[in-house]
Amino acid sequence: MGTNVILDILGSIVIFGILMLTLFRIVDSATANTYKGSGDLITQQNLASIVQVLEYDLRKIGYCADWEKIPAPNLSILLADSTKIKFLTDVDEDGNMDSLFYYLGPTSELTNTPNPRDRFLYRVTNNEAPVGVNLGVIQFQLTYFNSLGNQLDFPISVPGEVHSMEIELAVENVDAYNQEYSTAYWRQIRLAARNLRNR
Amino acid sequence: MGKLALFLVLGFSSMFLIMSYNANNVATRAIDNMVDYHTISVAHNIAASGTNIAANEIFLNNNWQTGFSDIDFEGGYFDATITIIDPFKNIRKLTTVGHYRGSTKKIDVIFKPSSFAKFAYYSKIESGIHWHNGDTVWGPWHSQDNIRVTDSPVFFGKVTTKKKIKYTHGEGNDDPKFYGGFETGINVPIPSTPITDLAALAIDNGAYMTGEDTVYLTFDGDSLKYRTSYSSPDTAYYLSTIAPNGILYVHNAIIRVKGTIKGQYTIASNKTIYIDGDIVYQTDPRSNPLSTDMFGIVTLMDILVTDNSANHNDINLHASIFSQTSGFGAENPGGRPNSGGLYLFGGIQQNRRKLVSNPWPVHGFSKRYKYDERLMFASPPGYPGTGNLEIVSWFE
Repeated sequence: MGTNVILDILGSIVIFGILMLTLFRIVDSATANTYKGSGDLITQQNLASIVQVLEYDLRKIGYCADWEKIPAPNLSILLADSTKIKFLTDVDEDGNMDSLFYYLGPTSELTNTPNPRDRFLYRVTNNEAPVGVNLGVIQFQLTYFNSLGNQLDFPISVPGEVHSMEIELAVENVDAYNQEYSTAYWRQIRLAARNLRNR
Repeated sequence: MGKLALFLVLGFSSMFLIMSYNANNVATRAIDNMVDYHTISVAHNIAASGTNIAANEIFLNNNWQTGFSDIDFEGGYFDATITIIDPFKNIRKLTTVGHYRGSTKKIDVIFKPSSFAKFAYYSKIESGIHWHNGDTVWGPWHSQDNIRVTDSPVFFGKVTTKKKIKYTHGEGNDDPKFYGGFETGINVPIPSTPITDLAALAIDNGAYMTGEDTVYLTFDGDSLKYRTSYSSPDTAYYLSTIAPNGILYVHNAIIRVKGTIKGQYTIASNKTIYIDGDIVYQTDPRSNPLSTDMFGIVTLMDILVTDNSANHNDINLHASIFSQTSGFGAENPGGRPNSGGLYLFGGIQQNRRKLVSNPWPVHGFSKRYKYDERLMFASPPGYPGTGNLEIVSWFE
């Protein structure tokens, strides 16, 4: 009888241990999946938000609500580089020309986030002070093409030569479970701002 | 023991249910996010396509105002409306709205009548002339002919041609720089009625002169000095009195013109126009961007820089120049002395290119052409239009 009780207790302990281990594994896995799923979602949402703003702004290169204030819209791009672009547009549609400057900051600006690759993507209107918002951008790559469809080499000394561009954007979450960062990638093969072709 | 097992089963089931719910929720939101972006993108694409379709109708018929309503396209539909926002200037706005699964996107496009004045350089016939290394053109340039390039000429404005580029050394070797864009297949023919249109405008509210062989015009600010023979004295008129609409037309007579322009004027004739001396703006827009001085020279025939002593040591010409059947050049380009620089500030639109030197530097002028940027959106009074509308603004 005494032996059976001991065996029962030992059996219960073993079964309980197995159940607990299983439970811990499940909790761990659930946590990892939750982080991963949420990270994927947040990354994707960040990417979609950035893309919509980017597309909206870049399609408006050379636009002004008062069109007579921009006589040569094909010369609206002021600076064209691999990770930065500055152009003339009418940001608030008030009929006054503005300059808009997109550029990617260095990774050293975001050393306080666990992700070592995330950077600020700056959007600066006119001469305003640059304010970065961290949405986990790790890549913002611009490639430019002239009106004959040929890729332009950097540095581009005459930005007016730009006729269309390819945009690549990659976003990661700024923190992740076990440093397994989610990545979302978007590429616009050819974005041709229509006002560049006016007149 | 039975109860414990039941609790365990219920506990694990609850946990799995919650985990599944969370996972499904995340997946659903991710798909929603993707679908939202896709829906907005498709609505935008439908609007852009609708705009292109409507713009094509407008290019085929400038007076097209029918628009579109509920046109099915790529699983959605679009509407397009045209409104005239400035009847006097014939400025029109096309608004297209694309609809797709609850998302809508709007595109506004503004059209204005296209004037030949916007071209820094226009020619129907290139006469086989090549653009070489070192040639630089500022402002929009159009040719109805093939554009022949050798090495690497530079074009800062938009270049269009009805035909195509002809490379002297092959496409990979010649490298023309089109810094303002380039398009082929663009047909901008010279209209047949610009001279008669200007004559009608001059009769209506300008100055219409006829019955002379030659007319000498000297612009002097807000006045015009006028005579009909070389030795006769000038008679002065206030331009605002004799030509309220700014158009001066001389019928069946040669015009010889020079002077200082204050205001906006166009002189026109169905005969040759000679430039007897400098024609300059009283307020040069390069030093004062608020200048409204603007001058047009329009003729059926030639526009020639006279071979006279005044023009043998540089000439300044501030004007947009249009020749319907001939071109702009120098009188006696192969016989006149080296005449220095031809400093043109404006644009040239002509049927065929003509010589200003033959050869330089022995005879004639060296070309020093600078485009007047104001001509991108303004033109001298009554200046010939292309007969088409052009897009000046695209908002999406």
